[in-house]
Amino acid sequence: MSAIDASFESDVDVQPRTVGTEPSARRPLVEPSVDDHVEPTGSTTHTDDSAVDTDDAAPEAAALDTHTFKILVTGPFAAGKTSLIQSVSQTDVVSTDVVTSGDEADVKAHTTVAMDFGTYELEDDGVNLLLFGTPGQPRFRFMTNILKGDVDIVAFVIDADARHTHAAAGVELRSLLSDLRVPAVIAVNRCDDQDVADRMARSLGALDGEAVVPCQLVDPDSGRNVIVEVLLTLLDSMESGGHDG
Amino acid sequence: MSPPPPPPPSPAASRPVPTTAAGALDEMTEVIAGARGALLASVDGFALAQSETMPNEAAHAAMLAASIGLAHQLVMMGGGEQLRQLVVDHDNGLLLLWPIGDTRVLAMLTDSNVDQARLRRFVRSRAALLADAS
Repeated sequence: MSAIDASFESDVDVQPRTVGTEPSARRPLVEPSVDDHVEPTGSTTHTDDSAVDTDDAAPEAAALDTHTFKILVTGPFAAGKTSLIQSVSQTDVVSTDVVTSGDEADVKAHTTVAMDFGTYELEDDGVNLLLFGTPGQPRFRFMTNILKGDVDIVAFVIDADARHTHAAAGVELRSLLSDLRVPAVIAVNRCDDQDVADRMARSLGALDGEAVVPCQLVDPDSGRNVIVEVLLTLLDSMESGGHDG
Repeated sequence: MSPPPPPPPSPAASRPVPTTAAGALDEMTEVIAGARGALLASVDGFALAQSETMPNEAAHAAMLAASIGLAHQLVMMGGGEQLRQLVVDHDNGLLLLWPIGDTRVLAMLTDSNVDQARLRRFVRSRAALLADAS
């Protein structure tokens, strides 16, 4: 379990970018109780309180909104997807790592064969992030196809040093985004330079509007920076109406 | 440590003991009534051996690896520690999956009415051979 007690509040002020202009929309959101029905995917979950008069309850209902976002963490083999999820998840990561064999064993000792799953919650803002990590090898592409349903944003991780993976990664990135039509954040792992990361991401076909984050995903702080960018991108998307959350 | 159980009696007894994983998988599908095909894969999704009757589909090994990977997590959900078997019961029969050691997965396609106890005994008797396959 990640022992990280991460809070974005000291790192970034997301509150001014919270969706909506109504005062109720900017109020802190209440985290759901165990009795609340929380959709596993989708953008916004409304807690149901049918006993409340709906005429008077609109502002209160908005205050009870819990925003649950599904994030697809994907990218090539050994790019750092599992590291990202492990570094930021506040709950035990569901991991399907197994020992590698063949040529892949020369790259790393373990690999994800089905999925990684982690969570991140901003309690005061009622924002829940569900992080679904995919395997990176093409033979597991069916898992990406399963996991990509109803995602709100893609965090696409590449390894700056593994340039031989970039061409295929670029094809995969554009294919995925043209299919999903959701925003993306490009996390360029093993990179500290924003300009280098930008150039690398653009060479993959990342669009000008897509955020690029240089990162070192062995460092939990760096992983959190990626998640911050994911949050900001989501909020931007919601404000611009590109997202139904 | 007790020796591994002997393979089931006839008709397997009349066959030479297989020396390869593929031979063992062929043997299983021939000896066990209702066993249609067998595939041995690495836990990271590479096909290692298959019976002659098994459809040759590259994605199958990866699917087995992913399924077993998730099943290990489901064991923990159930409060267990060790995955013994994963069964996919469908309208055209069964797909049975077993971890073989720490690094292999065996899948068998069977009819619904296959003698699962006998099948398990047979697999156990060939486990050492299958675990060493590469």
